[in-house]
Amino acid sequence: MTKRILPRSFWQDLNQAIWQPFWLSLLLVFFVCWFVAGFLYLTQSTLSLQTYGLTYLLGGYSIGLDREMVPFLVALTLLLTAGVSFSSELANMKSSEQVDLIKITGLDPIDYLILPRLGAGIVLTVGLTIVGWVFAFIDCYLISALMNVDMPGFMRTAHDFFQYSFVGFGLVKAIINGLIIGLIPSWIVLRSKINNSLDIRRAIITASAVSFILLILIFVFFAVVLHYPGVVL
Amino acid sequence: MKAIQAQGITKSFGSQRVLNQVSLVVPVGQFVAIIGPNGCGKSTLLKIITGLLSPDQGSVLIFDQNIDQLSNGQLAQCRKNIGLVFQQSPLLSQRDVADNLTLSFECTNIATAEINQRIKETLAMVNLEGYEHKMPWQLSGGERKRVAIACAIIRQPALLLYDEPTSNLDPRNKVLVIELMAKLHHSLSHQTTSVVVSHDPDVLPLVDRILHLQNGQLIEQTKPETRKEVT
Repeated sequence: MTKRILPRSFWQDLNQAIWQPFWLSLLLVFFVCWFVAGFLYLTQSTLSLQTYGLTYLLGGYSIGLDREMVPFLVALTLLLTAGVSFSSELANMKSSEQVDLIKITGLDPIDYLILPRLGAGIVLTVGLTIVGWVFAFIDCYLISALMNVDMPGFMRTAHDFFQYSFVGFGLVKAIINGLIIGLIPSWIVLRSKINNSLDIRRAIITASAVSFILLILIFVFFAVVLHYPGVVL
Repeated sequence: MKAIQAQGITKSFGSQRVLNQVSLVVPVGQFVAIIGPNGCGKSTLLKIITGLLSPDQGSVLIFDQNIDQLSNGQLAQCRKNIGLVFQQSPLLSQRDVADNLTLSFECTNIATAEINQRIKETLAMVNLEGYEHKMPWQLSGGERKRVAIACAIIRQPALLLYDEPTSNLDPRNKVLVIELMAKLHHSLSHQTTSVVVSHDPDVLPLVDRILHLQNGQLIEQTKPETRKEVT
């Protein structure tokens, strides 16, 4: 009997893992990009730059905000939706012996349970990071327009600051964030000893906390080491 | 050949020693019951036999393979000879009955038509024809138990293990499950070995041998003289 590389149900599970948290994540990404990245930061920056008559720089500032903040905010949002849903689902499966059932049928829980979630984490993070960039930039544009910013200047500096490598870096960040969101919560829960509801709670909190710290470390790594290597080296 | 050879199994949870130097030999084809009160370590012993738990001391050989020394791939291969009916009858909650039954074939290249045929035959064996597309939450306790048995037997394992198969069942379903166990022991193959862990005396007439687990030790009890047919 030959062995398949992926379980038969892989694509069905991947599809389910993507769509289950998708709409709520999309709503939250919209909310976070609109209010945190756009409204909160840009309004404050506009008020500061108005003092020096430099509001035309807001276009460039918006690009920087998109580049640095959006992948991070999207990753945190997805940790809250997809990451927690993956870890709580697996914790429930573990406590109700469903993981033991999978093992006893000769399946590897890593192939069967983690791979689809890993794939979903990457697809969701990359997809929603792109959506988040669009949301955040439109928001920055609208807020700037509402605050009587020099809009041709805004677009000019946005154009000057934009580099295609930003998109590449952003997507690499999104893929790494997706790996963390898809892998770490699921992995930690599957490795935890779960016998009761307290163990479930402990496993989910540990999984979320470790993933959160890793996301921040990745964010710092990209922000400091890659963009400003002189700070570290 | 021995289906199970467990030597000096010791297992503790915290300060509580559940199994203390337990040894067990089950020859191929035998039907064995391990009885004892709740919490005496029967399910723990079953999980150690299947490699789902590791013992603190001791070794387990399944069909002469030491499961502690197997790689993950070899252990997965070894488990293909084992069918385990869990106490809680776990089923994957987002999958229907047919998908739960196909778990065993997830990583194989067996044709879908053949798998579907096996599903039909297996469901017929547990008297659940037409249940392919029911979801686990649509099943009663007895039906769920029989689906769990179907999951365990679909690959026609040489070693069939039952963990409290009659717990939480009403008298009618209990009789159905006991009848099913008797039927499966004889009909799956001539060489099927069955081990039932239970505190229910109604399963004892089926078995060849009774072992009593008490204070972490296995003690052989009087063998029933004749096997009674459950009606």
